[in-house]
Amino acid sequence: MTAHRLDIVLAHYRNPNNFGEMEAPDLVAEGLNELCGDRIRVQLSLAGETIRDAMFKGDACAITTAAASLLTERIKQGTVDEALNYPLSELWADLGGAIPPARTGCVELPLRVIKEALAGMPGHST
Amino acid sequence: MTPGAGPFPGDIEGLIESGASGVLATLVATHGTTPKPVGARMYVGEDCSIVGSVTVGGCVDAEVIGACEAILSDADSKRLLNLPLADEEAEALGLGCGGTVEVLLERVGSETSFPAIMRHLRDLTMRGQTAYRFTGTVAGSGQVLVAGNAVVVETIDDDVVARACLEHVSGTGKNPSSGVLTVGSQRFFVDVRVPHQTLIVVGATDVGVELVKLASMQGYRTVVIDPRPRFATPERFAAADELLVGIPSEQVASISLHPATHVAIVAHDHKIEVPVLRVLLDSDAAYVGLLGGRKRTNGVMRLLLERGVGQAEIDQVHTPIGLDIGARTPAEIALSIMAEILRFRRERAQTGGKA
Repeated sequence: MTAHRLDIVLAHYRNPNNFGEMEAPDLVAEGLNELCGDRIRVQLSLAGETIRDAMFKGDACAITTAAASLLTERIKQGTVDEALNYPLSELWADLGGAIPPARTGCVELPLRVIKEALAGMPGHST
Repeated sequence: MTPGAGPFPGDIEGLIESGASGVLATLVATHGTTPKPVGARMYVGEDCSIVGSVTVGGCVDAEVIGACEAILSDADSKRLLNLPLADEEAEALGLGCGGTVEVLLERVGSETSFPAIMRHLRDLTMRGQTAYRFTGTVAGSGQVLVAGNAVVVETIDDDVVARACLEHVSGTGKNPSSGVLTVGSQRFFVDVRVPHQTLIVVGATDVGVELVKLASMQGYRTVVIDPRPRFATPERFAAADELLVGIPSEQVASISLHPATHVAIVAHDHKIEVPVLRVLLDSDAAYVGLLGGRKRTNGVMRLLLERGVGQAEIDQVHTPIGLDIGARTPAEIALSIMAEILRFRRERAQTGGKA
C-alpha cells in the first residue's frame, strides 16, 4: 500500500483512542468549529492535579477525530498544568506534520475543548 | 371505511386542544358518490371562524355551518345530520354528486373533554402510535380513546363499550380505517389517527431551508438537526417545529424514529452523514435519503461498511436522493425530495408496509 501523508490521521479516524463516554466524569466540555460543524465533547476524570482518564465523543472530521484521539492519550496520567500548556505544534507533529494550514481549526478544536473543561478547576482559569 | 387520516387539516387540532369554543363537524358516513372521504372535518368557531370542510364548500357545508351555530349554546352537545349532497335544483341541472352524507357535530371548548383528548391524540401520534377515538353519535354520549391495546382515556362508564372498542382495534389490519362501529343500540364514529408524519432534516443548508418550508405546507412535523448554532436558527427555519443543535448523531438518536419518520440528510458532509446513518439504519425510520454525488455517497457507504453496517441496511438508503426531475436549485431539489417521499409513502401503503 502506498503511504499517504495523512496515514496517521486516517488510522486514528478509523480506530480512535478513548472514543466513548465515562460513567461519572469530573469535568465535561463541548465545543465546535462554528462554520464547518466539527463538534466534540470531552470528559475528564481527575485525581487531584492528575488527569486519570480522558474520553471524547462527537461527529467530527478525520483530522479533529485524530487530534482528539492523540491528545486524550497524551494527557492521560499527566498533570492539569501539562494539559493546559500542551503545545499545538507538538500535536501537529504527532499527526504527521502534513495537515494543510487551512485545517488548523480542526487540529486545535480538541485542545481548545480540553482547556475549556480544565478552566473550570480552581486556580486554573485560562 | 376510509384509511386513517393524518393531522387535522389546517389548525383544527390545535384550536380544539387550546380550548377554543366551537363545534367540530366530522363526516362519519357516506352513501353514494361524495367529494370527500369519511373523516373530513370542519371547525366552526363561536367567533364565526371556519376551518376545513366536510364536502368541498357549497350548500351542504353551509347547512352544516348553520347547524353548528345552532348547538353552540349547549356544552357537550352532539347532533347527527343526514344530508343529501344535491338539492332539487342541482339534480335538475345535472350538477349533483348524488350521494348522502352523515355529519356528526360535537361541541368543543375548554369546558368539554376535548382539549385533553386532543392532547392525548397529539402525544400518541407524535410518538409514532396509531390512536382510535370512538365517539358516540347521540347527544350526551361520550368518547373512548384507545392506543396499543389499552384504553387511554374514556368519558363513557360502560365496560361493554370499552371492550368492544378494544376488540375493534385489535381486529384492524395494517391500514386501519375511520368509520362506524355499532355496539348494541349505540353507534360510534371511529376516528383513526395515524402517526404524525415527520420529516427530519439533517443539515441546516439551503436545501434544508426549502425542504422544511415544503414539508410544513404538507402537514409534516419538521425537525432540523445541525451542529452549528449559527446555521440552525429560527430566522432561517421559521417553519420548523423543532431545531436541534448539538452532536448530530446524538440528536437523531434522541428523537422517536418510528415508521412515520422520514429523514433527509442534506448536510453534504461525511463527518455528519456517517455517524447519523449508523443511528438511522438501526432504527424504525421509514425513509432515509442522502444528498450527494455518486462518487461521494459511494465513499460514505464504504465508510459505513468499514464500521460494520451491513450491505442490506445500506441498500435501504435512497441515494441519489429525490426523483429525477432535473432539479438544480435548492428549492427544486427540495421539491424532488418531497415528491420522492410522497411516492415512497403511497407505494408503502399499497404494499402494506413494504415498499
